Amino acid sequence: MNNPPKTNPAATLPGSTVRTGILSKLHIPWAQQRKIWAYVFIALPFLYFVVVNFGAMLAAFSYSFEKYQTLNSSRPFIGFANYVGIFADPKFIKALRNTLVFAAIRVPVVVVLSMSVALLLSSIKRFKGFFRMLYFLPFVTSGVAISWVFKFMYLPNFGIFTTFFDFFKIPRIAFLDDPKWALLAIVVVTVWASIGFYTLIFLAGLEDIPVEFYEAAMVDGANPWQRFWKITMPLLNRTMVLATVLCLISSLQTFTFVRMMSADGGFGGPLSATITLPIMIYREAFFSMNMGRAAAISVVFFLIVLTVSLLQRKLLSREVDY
Amino acid sequence: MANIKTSYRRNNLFFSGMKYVLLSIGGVIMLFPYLWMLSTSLKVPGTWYNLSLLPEQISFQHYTRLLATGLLPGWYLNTIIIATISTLSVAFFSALAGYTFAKYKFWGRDVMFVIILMAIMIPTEMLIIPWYVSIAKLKWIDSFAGILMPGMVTTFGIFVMRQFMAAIPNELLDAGRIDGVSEFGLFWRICLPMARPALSVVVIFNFLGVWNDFLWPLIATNKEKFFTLQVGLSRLNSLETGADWGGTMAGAALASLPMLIFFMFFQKQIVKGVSMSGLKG
Repeated sequence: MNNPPKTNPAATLPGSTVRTGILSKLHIPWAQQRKIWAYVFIALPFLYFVVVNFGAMLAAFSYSFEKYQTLNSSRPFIGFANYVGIFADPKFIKALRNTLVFAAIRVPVVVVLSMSVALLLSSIKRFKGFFRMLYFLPFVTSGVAISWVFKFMYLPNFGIFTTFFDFFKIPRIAFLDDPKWALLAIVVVTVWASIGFYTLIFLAGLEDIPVEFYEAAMVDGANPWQRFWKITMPLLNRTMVLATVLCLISSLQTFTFVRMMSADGGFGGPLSATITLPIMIYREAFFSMNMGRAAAISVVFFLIVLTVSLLQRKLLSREVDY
Repeated sequence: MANIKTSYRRNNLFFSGMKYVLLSIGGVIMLFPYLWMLSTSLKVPGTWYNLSLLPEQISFQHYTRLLATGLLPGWYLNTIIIATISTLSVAFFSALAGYTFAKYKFWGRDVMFVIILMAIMIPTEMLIIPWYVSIAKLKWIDSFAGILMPGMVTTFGIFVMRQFMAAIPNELLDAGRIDGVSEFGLFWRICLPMARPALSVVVIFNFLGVWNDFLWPLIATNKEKFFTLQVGLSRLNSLETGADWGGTMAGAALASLPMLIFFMFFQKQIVKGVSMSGLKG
């Protein structure tokens, strides 16, 4: 591209070259030039990233200490009043509880089911790709579309699930309209929707286990049962922690399915049976127009998610030694 | 002896048969909602509660109505524009940042990278509040700029690109330098073409993610005209009079079919991307 002038002293340095760019004309040493370019390249994406994520996070922290109503132009500082307010609100306590219950039911079910599917898939020879694709379909389908389909299937009296229950002589329930069952009904949909994703995570984990281990075990006469408990399970430990944490975080953050399927127009009904923290943040911020309060809830929510993430770091930082 | 052997084999056959039975039952459960959606979308109004998988009378009226008279074509267009712009930006800046993190040594590099990784710990549910406040100030509500604002660079993209760029030998870059290629040229003409496999994972994942994204576009738009496909779909039933299940199912099918087809083509990259998102932990 450029024809380096032969007189440039930099050309004699080993491993370096000559430029005729602006930086060279300013007699900036070549190693420095590279660093400058690095900062030029990284500046825009990095600054954007920091502002959009960390800047916004700090803004949310500061809103949480203000009496900040969207329709009100003044935003007085009120200390911890928002926090005191939300912890005195039974609806918030209910949302906190529901969020944790939702995760507590969903995570073990997803982990056990997807691990079973992965183990089955890894042990068959034909149609492996076909089944994997089948289970993975919901991952590429939007939560909104999935929610509509299940909402239709959950319809009391007319839905296919009611017919199914009638067929097996199970007493009818109103699914999404019944405060006792609504949360569980939504959990079922999210389990259906995410099995494929976690199956892939487990399949990747299974592939990482060296085949030699199984061969050696077979030579030693270990039966499949022993091979599973002595090799597969211990070596899949790391993958299980990873899947558990990913699933836990995604469970805490479930928004679309609850927004789409909960009975009182998507605000966590019936009777707050399905209200979760993300739904409550959304409602407080954009319907009650109370940004300060929503921000306070979001800070509590953030602390919960952060705790889980840090726990993961701690659990996964242990070195594995194969 | 022979007896034991055959019984062992029979046993084995039984187990592998059981595996296929179990997987098939699971497969039917996975597939059924899709079939039910398609079947309902093809039924004529009023026959939605006839619980047969095959419609008595197949009709495309819901599809033609949604596509001809509704707002759906506009929502498609909005979504395609937003997904395309966002994906181009994510691809370019993630690759550039990934290249810089992998191939340059500079003060603060590792701290910067850790900061970018740490951002995944901040839940979107918290960020939407300040994001909304800022796009409201900028008068970006109901605009592409507003919807696009938070997603122009992603942690996933930078992470994947850095991993891949690190594997490109430094000698190649030095050879380029000796030939007088500029530092940006090293990225654009040497590393980027070589990183195509990783780049395709980032591109496909991002396009898919933006297409299906719901929370932020829901907040960033108020007017129907500016809805993305998912936001529009979420209002489909309430925009119509009464419960129009055929129309809703046709809408759900129209919103998910492009990505299902997309998946058939790019299955390899999507599977790769999922295992990469596992790596991040």
